[in-house]
Amino acid sequence: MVHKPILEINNLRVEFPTRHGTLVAIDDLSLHIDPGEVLGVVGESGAGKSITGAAIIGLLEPPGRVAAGEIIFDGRRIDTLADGEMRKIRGRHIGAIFQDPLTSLNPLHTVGRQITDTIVTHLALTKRQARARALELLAEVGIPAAAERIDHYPHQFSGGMRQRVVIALALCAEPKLIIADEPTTALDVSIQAQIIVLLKKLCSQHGSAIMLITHDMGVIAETADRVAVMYAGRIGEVGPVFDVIHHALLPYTIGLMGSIPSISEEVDQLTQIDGAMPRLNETPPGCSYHPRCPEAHERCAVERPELIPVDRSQVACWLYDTAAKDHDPPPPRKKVKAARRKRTGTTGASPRPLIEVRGLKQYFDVSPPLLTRLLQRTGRRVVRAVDGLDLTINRGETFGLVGESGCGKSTVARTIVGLHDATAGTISYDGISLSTRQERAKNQSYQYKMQMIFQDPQASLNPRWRVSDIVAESIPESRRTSSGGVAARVDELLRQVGLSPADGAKYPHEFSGGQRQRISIARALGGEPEFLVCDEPTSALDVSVQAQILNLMSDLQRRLGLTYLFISHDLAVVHHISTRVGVMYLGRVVEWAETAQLFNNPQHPYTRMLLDAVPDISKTGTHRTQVEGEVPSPIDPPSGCTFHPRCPYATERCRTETPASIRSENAAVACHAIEEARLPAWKAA
Amino acid sequence: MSAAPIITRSESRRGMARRFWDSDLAYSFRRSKVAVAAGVITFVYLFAALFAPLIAPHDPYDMASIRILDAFLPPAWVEGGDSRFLLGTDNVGRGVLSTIIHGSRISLGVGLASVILAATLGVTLGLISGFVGGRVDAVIMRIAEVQLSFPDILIALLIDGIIRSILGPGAHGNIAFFVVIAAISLAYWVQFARTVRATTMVEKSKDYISAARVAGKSPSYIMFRHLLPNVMGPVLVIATISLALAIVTEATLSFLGVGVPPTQPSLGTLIRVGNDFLFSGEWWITIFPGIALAIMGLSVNLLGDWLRDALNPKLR
Repeated sequence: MVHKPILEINNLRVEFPTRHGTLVAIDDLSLHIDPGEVLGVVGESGAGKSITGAAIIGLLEPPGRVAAGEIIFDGRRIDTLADGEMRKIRGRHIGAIFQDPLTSLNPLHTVGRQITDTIVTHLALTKRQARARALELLAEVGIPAAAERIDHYPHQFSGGMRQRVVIALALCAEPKLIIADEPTTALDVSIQAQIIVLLKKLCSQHGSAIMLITHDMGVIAETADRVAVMYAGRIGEVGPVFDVIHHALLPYTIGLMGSIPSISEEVDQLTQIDGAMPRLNETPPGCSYHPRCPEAHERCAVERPELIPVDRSQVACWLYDTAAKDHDPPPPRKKVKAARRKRTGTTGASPRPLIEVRGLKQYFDVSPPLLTRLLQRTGRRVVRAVDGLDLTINRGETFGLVGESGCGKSTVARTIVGLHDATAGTISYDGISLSTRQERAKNQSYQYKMQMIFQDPQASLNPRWRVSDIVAESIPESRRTSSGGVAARVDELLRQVGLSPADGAKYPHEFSGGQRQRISIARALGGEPEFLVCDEPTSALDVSVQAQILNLMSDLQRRLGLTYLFISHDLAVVHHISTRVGVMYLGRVVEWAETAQLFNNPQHPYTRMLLDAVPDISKTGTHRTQVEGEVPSPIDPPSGCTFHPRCPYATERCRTETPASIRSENAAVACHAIEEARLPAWKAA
Repeated sequence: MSAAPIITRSESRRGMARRFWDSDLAYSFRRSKVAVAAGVITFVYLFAALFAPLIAPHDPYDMASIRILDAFLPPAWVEGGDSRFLLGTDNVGRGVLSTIIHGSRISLGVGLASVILAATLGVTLGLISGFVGGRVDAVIMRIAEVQLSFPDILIALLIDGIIRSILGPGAHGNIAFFVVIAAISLAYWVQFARTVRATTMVEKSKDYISAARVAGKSPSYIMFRHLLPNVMGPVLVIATISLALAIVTEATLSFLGVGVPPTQPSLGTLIRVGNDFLFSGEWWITIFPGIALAIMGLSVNLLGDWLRDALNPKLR
């Protein structure tokens, strides 16, 4: 390469001194970013991605410090600069975008003021000129009616719009490098797509390079030019995005790519990397991946590999060390997908409904107190979280429920298991109605047949209880014949989810996120349930751990004959695990069908929009169609078909009349356009 | 899963002392000089209070050993002092040091008992208030707020007065202790209830509570088995700070003559008795119990402050 890189990091080492010894978060890391390039930095949580970003802009949380190595920005060493000097570079030459758009804006200042202040600080412009520039920027990042919105406060913007403002803020001084730390993680799929497209477009227009830090391979696949894969504080592999994703060299990358579910192929089991990333204080010697690596040999355990150039990539793995003669030549490049097995067909038995939900409504009263209502002359405010939902789940199947945040999918889960009392509608289990509190109290034995797995493995386990007590909780009183019987059952449950009975004596904080989710599953299995409601069970986990949990769930389903309601915002995960899928929008299921049918031939415009928006590793380097608009508030939903403000096919009828569900043999869809046969056929990707 | 070392329960229990020494709390205690000093002094007081009859050079309750001839002796190092009575004697010839040691026992005992009672009451009401919500919550919290708008000492005096008038003038002796304890604990339960209510409302929205409800557990099971252990952190802090306040409140009540009976004097009673002689030159009768009370209150308070800071991640 002829041109000089904009950023060069050589042998960076970041340490956190603690009273238990020094933790090395980043160890001997070298990378470079060329002008105008998008470098994706991926890795699971704890790999040191964000710390690398913070080290570059000089914002390491104390007591963290750069212990060795150098960071050279635009030909100038910046890791040794004093605070005052660094402040001039930060914002002016290096911009930053953080994960949470809510906390990266000051809630007490208008967005216009925040942008103009930044411009005035860094560029020699007057207030008036700066404001004009701010207006221009806001229009550029796609904020409608920018002239009016410039004087609004951050809370008046939605999440996606706020992230646009943050991007404008990062771009305002035309920096040469932008550090984007998980810029789309807090956003919904459709919004995420908009932000990715915007970020990429603007940076190429302004000529800024981006260091895009994320755990989401789909985002990287579509955005980055080159990718660096981090593991335990080091770079394991770096190379062009297509090579890394489709022809990975490093065993870790191969495993990681295999563990990501994709919407474009069906597999029975995901590739699984056992174990989890080592904690900072227990990094193994040699290659830090060797305890989990299927290709590990003796040398890996003692000697640490450095980055070795292979083709257009660089990889830190002894497999590719051609200088060493004492072992076999490097294995041929593995096709990642070869490791996967095709999904086996579903059993042909005629479906028997287990759960039937009819006309379910769940309203929440969020009105201000009576006195305030009287003074402000406002009426009651009601959130229609679920508004007339029909659902049938057959015995032995996995019903996937997808939708963006706020569409009511978690409320459906909680209402079905009886955590909420439904406002209207019926829920029946195997023909027994469990719609009201009285009915549930009468049929207590059915309560144990329905259990739930929660999203946050941190909050779903009582931190003051031993694991054995947590798991024993759901064992019904009737089965607690003797204390020894309970203990034996707990051991059996722990073994079933892949933990050891000895783990029962520990407390939840001694486990990693994936192990905690296993405990949560063991607890749910305690009552020998037939039906498990899983509310985003893997969205708080890293991809390799997610694969472990998804595989465990399929495994348990086969062995115990379980039925799942699987709720997720992640289309790829739902595609992987479900036999049938329902798509929710503002409290209703707008379309449901068998998985293959829904993903190959989506009917409802909203389903099509979601499928278009989802970042997927199979779409590496492709362009996407951008989706407009955001999810409306369920307090004041649009009239008629609630999707009409975002729908390209909306007519007058859609604005006034709520569409009824049109049933076909194995699917249903609620859309006027389909009913009137004026929807174009789905172009297969 | 990696092969986890097999830990039996007895092994993990043996490691508990070690684990505590290694814990962040013990570390922050070792690091803070103020906390160590306050901790040592509090421990000395507790020890002296527990073993008062063994430590005190004289028994102030033993009428036979008290001689009126020994009255008004100054401290040992002052001219006319007696080496038998290090801090001098009071108006009836009891050694001031011995009365302080026995008085500390009464002060600490009443203080601890009232805090335990206040904590039990406050935690229970706070849990119910936070968990049940709605009208129950509104009623409990309005009572708490009304009570908060009066000074604690006024509440204690009021409750003390009410109980005494109900029990009649014959209420002396041991009943007086319970009256004081009841009065102080009723004055201090509000802090506990409000904090526990707030913590409960945060904790009850977490999913382990949902999991317990899905498993069909009763509200009282959820409150006392699940929530209680998780709201106890702040309670410990408030209990320590309230202990200092309760000790001072008891001393104030006793000083005003409505506290513990004079036959078993607490530090407050000693100060009141000595107060009569302050201007006639026998300063030691009131000054030494005063200093003892101040140091006790201060060290317990400092210990509470440290505990609050150590358990509050925001202040770290």
